[in-house]
Amino acid sequence: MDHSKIRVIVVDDESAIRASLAGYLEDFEFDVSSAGSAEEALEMLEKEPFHVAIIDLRLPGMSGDALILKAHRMVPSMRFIIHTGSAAFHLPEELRCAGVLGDHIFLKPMADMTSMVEAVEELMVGKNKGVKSKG
Amino acid sequence: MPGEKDNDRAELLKELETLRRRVRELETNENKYQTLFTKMIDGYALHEIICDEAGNPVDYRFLDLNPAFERLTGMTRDIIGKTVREVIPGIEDHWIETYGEVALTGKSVKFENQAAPLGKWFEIVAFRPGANRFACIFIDITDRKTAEEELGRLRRLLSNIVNAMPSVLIGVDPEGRITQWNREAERTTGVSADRAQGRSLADVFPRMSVEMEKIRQTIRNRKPQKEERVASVRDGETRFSDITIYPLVSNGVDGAVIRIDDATDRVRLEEMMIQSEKMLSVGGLAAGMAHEINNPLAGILQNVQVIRNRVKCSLPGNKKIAEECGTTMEVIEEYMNRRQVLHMLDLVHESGRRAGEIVENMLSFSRKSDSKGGSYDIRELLDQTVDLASKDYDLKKKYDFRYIEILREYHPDMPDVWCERTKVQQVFLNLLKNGAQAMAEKRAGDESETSRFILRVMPEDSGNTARIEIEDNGPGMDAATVKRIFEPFYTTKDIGAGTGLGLSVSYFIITENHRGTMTVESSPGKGTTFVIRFPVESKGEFQ
Repeated sequence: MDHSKIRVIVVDDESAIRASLAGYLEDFEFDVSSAGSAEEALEMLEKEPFHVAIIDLRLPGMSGDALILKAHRMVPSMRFIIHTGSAAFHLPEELRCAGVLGDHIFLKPMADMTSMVEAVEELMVGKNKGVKSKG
Repeated sequence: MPGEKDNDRAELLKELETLRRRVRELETNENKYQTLFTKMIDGYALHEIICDEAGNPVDYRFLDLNPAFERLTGMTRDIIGKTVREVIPGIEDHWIETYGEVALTGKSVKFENQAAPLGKWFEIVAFRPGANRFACIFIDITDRKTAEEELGRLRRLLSNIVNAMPSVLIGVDPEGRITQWNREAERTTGVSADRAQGRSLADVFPRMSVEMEKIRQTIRNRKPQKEERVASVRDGETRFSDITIYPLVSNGVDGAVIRIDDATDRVRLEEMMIQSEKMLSVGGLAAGMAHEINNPLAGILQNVQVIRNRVKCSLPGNKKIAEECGTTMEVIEEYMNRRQVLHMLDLVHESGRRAGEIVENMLSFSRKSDSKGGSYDIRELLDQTVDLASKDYDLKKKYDFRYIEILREYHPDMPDVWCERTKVQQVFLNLLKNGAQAMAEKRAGDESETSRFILRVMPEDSGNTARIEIEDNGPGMDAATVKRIFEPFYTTKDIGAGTGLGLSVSYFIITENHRGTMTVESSPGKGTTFVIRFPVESKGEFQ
């Protein structure tokens, strides 16, 4: 799969985490951007679409959940991966409807980010085949 | 001789007068006697003893009796002239023997006798007023007897109350000598009340010798004292007692009473509650902290991975930038290796990973549990876990499950237990690994004895509880360790070898998630047995 055509956005308010994810994915040739808040991410989305967003839930201002719902309405083909620090997180039904898969909730810290790359690939394949888009 | 005749006459008259006076006197006496006889409130009867040819008393005859006798005994004057065997055909021989001796020897007797049909008690005095005769005086002592009986009944009631008490109750005088020693005191000390009576408390009950000063103080100040959770070691086991000392303050009785209650069960229960409180507070703290810690950990771990990729891997980007910088990835990697930078990155990664594991473990203290329970055969769960443990051969931890003998004592008829399979297996695995490690340490360099587990599964409490025991023959633990073994962050392993959370997580899973209990029995050199009890029917939600 040609990663360079896949546009990924990382949304996290902690720069260290943002840098790690963005850096890791860049090394695998993805086209990566990053944002420190939901608001910033929405601004970027309006200018240029992304294929996949990796989103932290606890963000200053608008929450990660709200961002997903809003982005899903703006760009229905967009796919989401959740990257959160709270172990007690349960995937709510509305996020499921927005196409978030239970398998694509990653808990911080990730000792190995290989699975993140696999998840992005999976989502892209799924989208192209038109399956998995409904979680 | 008329003068003489006159004289004689005068003599005669005088004599007659004397006689008359004597008769009057006698009449008066007779009246007095009659009055005494008829009016006295004590019963009186006069009898004549009847002997056989050999001179042995065989019967007696009633000669006289007074109205009081009739009133007291219910017999009437009709019996006068009759013998006792005629009046009371079934009379016991001992009456005749006793009275016979009085009549024949003149020796008086005094005894008490109950006239059951009359509901009366008599004190009877028998004496000999003349040859072959005896008289009886009946004194009604029913009131005295009733009072005595009431006193006896009261005494028995009090001693019953004292003896039925589940507490040790000991009375002492001001010198510390035992005046009261109840049944529980006998049971606890093995010393009977008879042997304890009058002896010094410190001698009979050495454990109390430290309390003697307090006892004296209590008697002096007339103020009770109470001391709770006094520890003492009995048969190698620490027991706790509550000791109350209170003064005897009634007139004429000086001293103190010591009451000792076994508080061991209560103290244990309190300890367990404190333990589970501790767990919950750790859980609450952990849930709040987890997010805060996981974020910086992600910053560390995830960036370390990116750094590793960028200094080592043959990523296309790496190669390009290296060339732009006028070097090659090979040179960079060589440098990193020689300066051990890659190794240090691994260490950073490993440290971060361990910190993450601790947070994850601590999270399991929070009450919530996602997974659902099911009905499982505990014996199967245990066997599956043994399988799992045997695959976890760990060179670093120096134990190999294949060399551990495993004895199973499974009850053939076990009810299924409602539980969370993975969590219960986590507990078993933890106990098996800890045990294996402890046994391996004990046998390091000594192969004379093999390590072995005894696994027991049995029903308890008429099948309502499943009891699981995991016994090892490792080095065992002392009392201080046993006390703290389930505490979070308490570890007996070397620094870095364990987080000290394994057993407390296990404890939490059993007690909070499954409403079971988990205890440990161990002493140095005797190995260790963990005992888990599950309620069989705890169907419904897990907390």
